[in-house]
Amino acid sequence: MAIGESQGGGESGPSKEVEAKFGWRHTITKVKDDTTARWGLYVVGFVLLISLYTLIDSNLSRLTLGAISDFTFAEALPIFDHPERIPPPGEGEGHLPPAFHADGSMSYPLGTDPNGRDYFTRIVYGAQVSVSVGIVSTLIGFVGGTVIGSVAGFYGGKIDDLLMRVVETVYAIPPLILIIVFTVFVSGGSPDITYAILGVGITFIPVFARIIRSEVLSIREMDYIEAARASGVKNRNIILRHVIPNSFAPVLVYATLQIGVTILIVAGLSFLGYGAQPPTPDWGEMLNVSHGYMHSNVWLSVWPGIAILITIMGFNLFGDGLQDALDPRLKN
Amino acid sequence: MSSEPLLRVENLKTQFFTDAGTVRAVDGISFEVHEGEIVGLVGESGAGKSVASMSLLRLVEHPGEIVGGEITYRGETIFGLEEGPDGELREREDMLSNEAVRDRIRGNEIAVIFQDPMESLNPVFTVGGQLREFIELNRDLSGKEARAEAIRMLREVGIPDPEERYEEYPHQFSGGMRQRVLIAMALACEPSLIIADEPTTALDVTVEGQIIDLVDDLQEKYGTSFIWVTHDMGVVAEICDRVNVMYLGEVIEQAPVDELFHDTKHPYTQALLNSMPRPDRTVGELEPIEGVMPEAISPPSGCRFHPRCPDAREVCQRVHPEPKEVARADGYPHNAACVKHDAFDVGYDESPPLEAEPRLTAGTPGGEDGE
Repeated sequence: MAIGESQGGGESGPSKEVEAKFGWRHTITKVKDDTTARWGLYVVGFVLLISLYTLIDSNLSRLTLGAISDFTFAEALPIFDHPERIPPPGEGEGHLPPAFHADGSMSYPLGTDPNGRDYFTRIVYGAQVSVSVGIVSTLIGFVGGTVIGSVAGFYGGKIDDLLMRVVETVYAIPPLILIIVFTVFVSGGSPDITYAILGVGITFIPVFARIIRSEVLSIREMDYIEAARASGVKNRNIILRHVIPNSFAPVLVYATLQIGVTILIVAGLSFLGYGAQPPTPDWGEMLNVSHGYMHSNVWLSVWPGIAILITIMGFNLFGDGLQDALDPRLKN
Repeated sequence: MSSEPLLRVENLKTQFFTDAGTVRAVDGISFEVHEGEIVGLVGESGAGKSVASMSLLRLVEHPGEIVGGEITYRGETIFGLEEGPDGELREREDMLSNEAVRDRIRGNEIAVIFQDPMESLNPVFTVGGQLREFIELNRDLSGKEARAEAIRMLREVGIPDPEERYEEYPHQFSGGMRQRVLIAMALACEPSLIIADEPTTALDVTVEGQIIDLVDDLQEKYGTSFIWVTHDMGVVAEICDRVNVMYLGEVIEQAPVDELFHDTKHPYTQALLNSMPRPDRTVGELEPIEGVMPEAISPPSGCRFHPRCPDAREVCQRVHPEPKEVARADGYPHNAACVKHDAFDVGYDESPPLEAEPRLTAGTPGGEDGE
């Protein structure tokens, strides 16, 4: 028989309605209820699915990287009708316009690129590049920023001063210039998508560090931090178990929005020639190649643009929805 | 008492070095806690109660610092200073290292129950998970055993359906339930001493009563000693064995609880008691203590209470009384720091009284001692 069991009954207030208002389940429900956020989620999910597919299908990835492709992504899908197979034009022999054009073919729904590769396949494959770029570089910024921001905010004093001054110095430099300089420097003059991802990630560490730090500053004053200290928990564990999990929500929202921004920046870098290099089918790199063919085939520039637009819009809508869902003031 | 006390605090001084000056939050307090005893630490906001209790675990935060005194727990020195060869004070060699205090003392030997149960639990983890983690941290138990132990503790503090509630989050608990969880957490590692820092202040009176009953029962069962920090004389009367009354960083009266209430020796304690409604007395109007507590940054000269003291005389402005034994009860001394007692012999009786209207002391209300 427990001591005080009889006394305890009166104050137990399990509230199922309250339960429904918190936690992941609630967040997901909120996102689903919000039309724009739901569309954002659909788009993000769609892009993720495509990139997963291209990751698995090694046949596809080998062929898109090759100079000339006799494989078309459209063949794998039943939605396109491709009665007879037109051989793609060889390298330097020009390129096919999209299928709705008089000279086009349903075998190549979006036409071919100047090297004769199926443009649709390359656009689809580009999703994988963009998504990994967005996620990996955001993750670098997120992890780096979380470590720096939480340590600076939690310990305060000289550690805080030192870390934040460094972070602010980096923050003060225009990001694009910083990334380009970093990419060129680190890669030793031969830029690559890997360096671009790394550069973008590092450049955004300061932003995350500042958000996390401001969260940590308020969380470290909480009684449960003091309580953890009073029960003999090491500082490192206090940061890992108490500080970081509680400062997560605003950063999560920011990270989702940041994925879109990063994709855009890396596409821009690739367009300028500092990111993905041919033959990697990155949307930015495709724009770079295609802008030389603006007069002969404007569609080469349009498709990657649309792909970038849709993807970024998806991440932004989802991020906005997530923000609303996680904002306690908007709970009804 | 014949036996060595569980915890002995001697002349403890904790100061906060702020831009405005040095705040002497705790200014030379001494007290003892024996096995199985509940010792009260009473005083107004800003008297230094919380800082004193946190000093016991060496948990004073920047810009605060323990600058003097000695804290001994079971013969081990938690804090102690000695004079080095160059005349500078330095930490004594037998003083426990930071790691030792963290790993062995905090949580294991001395646990803390905090004031606000709403904020003392991490909102992102389940109640059971936090309790289990705490047990795993301080006792060598596997995850499964720790879980069973956590559920047992939840049952012990009177939480119904502990298996179910184990999986719930702090926001699903009411204030009283959360305080029970915190008590479970404090008791989980069977510490010898629990510092309860105003654990019932944030609760309403009925729940407060339940919690006090619970603590009373558990104290009897486990034989744990408590330091009960509070400003509520009613709670003190209810639960404490011995009481230390603090005013502006000093212990001004120290006595067994019955003695304190029935044979009050210090005017401040008397004033505290007068300002509290009592069921055994019918009064037309309560007598509040005039003025507010001065800031610990520049305490009044002489007796620190003299500006607000109804019994203040001229000598009180000059002489700063250290607590002295003025009576004895149940084998414990009854100490008071007031020169009106014969033990002081500084000419109180001949000294002219100060003007009848006690001077209101300027200063911000509330605790400005860096708590």
